[in-house]
Amino acid sequence: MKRMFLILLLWLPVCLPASGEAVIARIDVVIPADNAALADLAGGIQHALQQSAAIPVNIRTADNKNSSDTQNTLLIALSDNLLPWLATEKNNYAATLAFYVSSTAYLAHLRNDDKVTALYRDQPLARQLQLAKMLMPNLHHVGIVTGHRNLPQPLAELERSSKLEIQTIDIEDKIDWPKYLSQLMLDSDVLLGVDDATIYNADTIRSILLTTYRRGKFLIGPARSFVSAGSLASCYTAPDQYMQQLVEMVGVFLRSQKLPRPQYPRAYRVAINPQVAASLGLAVQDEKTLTARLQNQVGECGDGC
Amino acid sequence: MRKSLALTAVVSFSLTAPSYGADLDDSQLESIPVPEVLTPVRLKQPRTEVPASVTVIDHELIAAAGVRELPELLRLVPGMVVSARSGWDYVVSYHGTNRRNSRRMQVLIDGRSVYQAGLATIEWSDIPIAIEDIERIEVTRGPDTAAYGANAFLGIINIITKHPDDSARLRVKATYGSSGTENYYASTSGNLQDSSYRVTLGKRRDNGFDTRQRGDERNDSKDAHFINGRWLLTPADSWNIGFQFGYKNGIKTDDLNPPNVIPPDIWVKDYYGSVNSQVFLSDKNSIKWQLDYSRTQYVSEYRTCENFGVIICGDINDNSQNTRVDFDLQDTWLSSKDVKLVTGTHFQRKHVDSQTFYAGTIDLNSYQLFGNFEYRFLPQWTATIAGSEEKQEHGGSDFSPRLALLFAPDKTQTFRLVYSEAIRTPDLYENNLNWNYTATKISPPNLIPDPFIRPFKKSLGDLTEEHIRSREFGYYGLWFGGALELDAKIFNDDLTHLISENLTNANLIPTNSTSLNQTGFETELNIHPIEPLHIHINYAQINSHASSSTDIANAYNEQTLTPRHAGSAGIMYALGDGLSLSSFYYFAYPVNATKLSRWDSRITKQLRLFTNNLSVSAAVQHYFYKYSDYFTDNTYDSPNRFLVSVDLSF
Repeated sequence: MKRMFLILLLWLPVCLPASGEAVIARIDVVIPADNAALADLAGGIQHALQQSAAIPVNIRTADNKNSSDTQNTLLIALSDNLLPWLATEKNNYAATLAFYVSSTAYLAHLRNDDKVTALYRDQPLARQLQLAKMLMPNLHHVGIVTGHRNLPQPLAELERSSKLEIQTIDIEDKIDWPKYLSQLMLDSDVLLGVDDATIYNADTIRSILLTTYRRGKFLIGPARSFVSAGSLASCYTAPDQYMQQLVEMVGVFLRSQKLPRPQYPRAYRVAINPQVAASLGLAVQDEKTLTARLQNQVGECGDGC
Repeated sequence: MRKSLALTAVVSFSLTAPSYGADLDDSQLESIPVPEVLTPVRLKQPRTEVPASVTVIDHELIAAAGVRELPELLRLVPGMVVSARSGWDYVVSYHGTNRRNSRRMQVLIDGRSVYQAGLATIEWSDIPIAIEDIERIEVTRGPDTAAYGANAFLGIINIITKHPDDSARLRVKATYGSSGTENYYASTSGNLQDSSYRVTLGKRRDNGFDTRQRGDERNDSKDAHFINGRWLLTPADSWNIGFQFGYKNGIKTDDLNPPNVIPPDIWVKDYYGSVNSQVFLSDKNSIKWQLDYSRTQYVSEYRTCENFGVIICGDINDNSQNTRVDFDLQDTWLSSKDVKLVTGTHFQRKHVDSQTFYAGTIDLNSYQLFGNFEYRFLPQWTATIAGSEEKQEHGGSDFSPRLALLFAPDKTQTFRLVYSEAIRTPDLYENNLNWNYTATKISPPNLIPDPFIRPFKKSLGDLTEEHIRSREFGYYGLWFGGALELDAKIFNDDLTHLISENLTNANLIPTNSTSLNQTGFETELNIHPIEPLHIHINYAQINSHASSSTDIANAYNEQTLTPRHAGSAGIMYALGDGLSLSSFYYFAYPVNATKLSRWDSRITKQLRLFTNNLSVSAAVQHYFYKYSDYFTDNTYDSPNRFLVSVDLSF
């Protein structure tokens, strides 16, 4: 009941008239040309926003993204591929919301731009660490594999909030990167996955998982799809949860004319791969229990959880 | 107006959401599809679900133990008896039994058997791999011919080398120690596209034991160099292939030959090659095959003299060449999480070429079919039914069953009840021996024919299989969140039709006349209470009763290598700043009237030089008894032996 009230409270800004003149008259949702699932999601966004914001919402594909009338338009861009374009001067939309983008990719292109904000696809690392600690109470050392991109959250801050020792290695452009990973996994109890497609992708995931596994260690994260691949567990956010937060963010913007700061998905659940857990002798609870337990601990992991 | 619209939006959103939201898995939204990598068939079986007694010695324990010989590591396995006939002639046997040879164990290196059929033994010192390349040793304590084939009679030692990705780019190591010990190791590894490789070069030498009981010097040194390589390719997610090769060349000196012979040197050359591949047909089914080839050549030539009224001398030899080809094919099928079926076939061809031992060449083929069916019939109960049918050319076929029942009250502990039978088919050396010495270059000439053939011993070829019937009740558990790992078992094994005679004695014709009963208890504890501290403990108590229908000496032989009490206790502590200490105590008594009581201590300092690791270590072995290694002739002059090593990895 209390949560219901909170949700309603958060929705309130959408309902209130915007102060001053309404500048935004239209919303463009731009999606990659070849992704049916994202197109479906965009359809959902269109539906929800048209009803809540009562302004026209157009869906465009990325190859058709340059609109003539962008002065009064909010751009909602889906997918990491659009991020480089968003950062260029060609993007002359009044405001841009990058939705369902990885925080590492976003921060690599668009740090400190007040005309752009984001609702990230990935889970905050602090939350994933909290999940790892819950699954492995004796956890001390965490390894993180990175590329040239910065971590979305400062390492020192992560270490402080999680009370864990974290070691990172940069493996981008290294042909023998499995060796670096193998060494890292010798010194770490768990590998924390970061949503960075330059590191975690279809070509590398096999080696990452098999190397980690050979060392008798687990991968946590970076996303739900990796859990089916062989990661032990990950937090994830369901499409309806993303959409709800997106509608809120748009509402805040329309009301105040100020873009909210980039944010991680607030609502989440836990996905687990019980076979992987069993194989290394780790006893785990079911997803529902773990979700409830983690959500109860949210207060302990500070900002970003 | 707006307000009501927004409220409608909430309602309509939640109503319309299911049309795409509920069916849409967020993983479908990933811009890059992620393949399923660790499918059930690729996952290893959790320890709590293994229907056997298993001990795992991992690379950390191997490094902490600080020993330089592979057999020495096996003292960390409960019930494993490690002994030596000379400085290079190790005998390793689970629960001991006959000291003669390691005839009753299966020893595999990355799936390749290193059992020497022509000599009916495992030549531990001739195995061309370096301890530094070992990832872990998995020891199955108990018969399991159903899964590992012939010679998996008392147990299986499965040595798994490191994946090249887990080896350093370049590693060099030098070790020096008492008794002229010198070890050199150099290894390089890397990646080529979708493949990983490692090449290792090594050299090992030492002087063996120091003195005999009567005071004269032992002549049991070894000196060998070797090269080996491993190349692993993963062309696609669905299959992988691996290649291995090795070559070893060495010389050993020997002083256990007849007294009228100047002890000859033994030259050993060993080659091997291996190909293995795994194909993942689906997430439930995978096929694995492996083809191995190995050849070991022993050259030992010397001159001997005999009194025929006149002293006549001639050149004779103990040369032999042993070749082995193995092909193994197995299918793993997981029909559901409760049903697992492993089936397969194995072909083995042994070829031995020795004028002295076999009056020429002998070939022997054998075939095996095996199956292992595991079924969880209730959430906490799993039954395993396994069996293997083995057929040897010119011989009959034999079936060995294995039954196990597992009860897991929770996910961290299991009780197991295992009944297994196994056979060991008599070896070429036991059943096909045709031992003649052919003397050449006779001097003085023309008194006897040249070449002169002296028959020494001939097998009757009537030996049948040795048989074991083993029963065990065991427990495996993880306590305190895994900080304590406990394995314990009680066992009762009946071994019958044992071939117990000394095969090198010309007057003894081997028979299947000995029976042996072994009962006892063994346990293994791994404790990891705090981060820097590890404790490893094992203990076995074995009671042996043997009888022979032909010769009491046979019954005696079958108990010579079995200690009543044996075990070890080790403590490993990381002090920080790269400094670590380890200390292990080993004991076994009585073993042929000797008593092993040894304390090893080791200190290691690891320094980081830029991105490289330099590790310097010093170890001391202290013997509490002079006569510790099976024979009273196996002694060291000082109770303390030292080893220092410098190890640099890039």
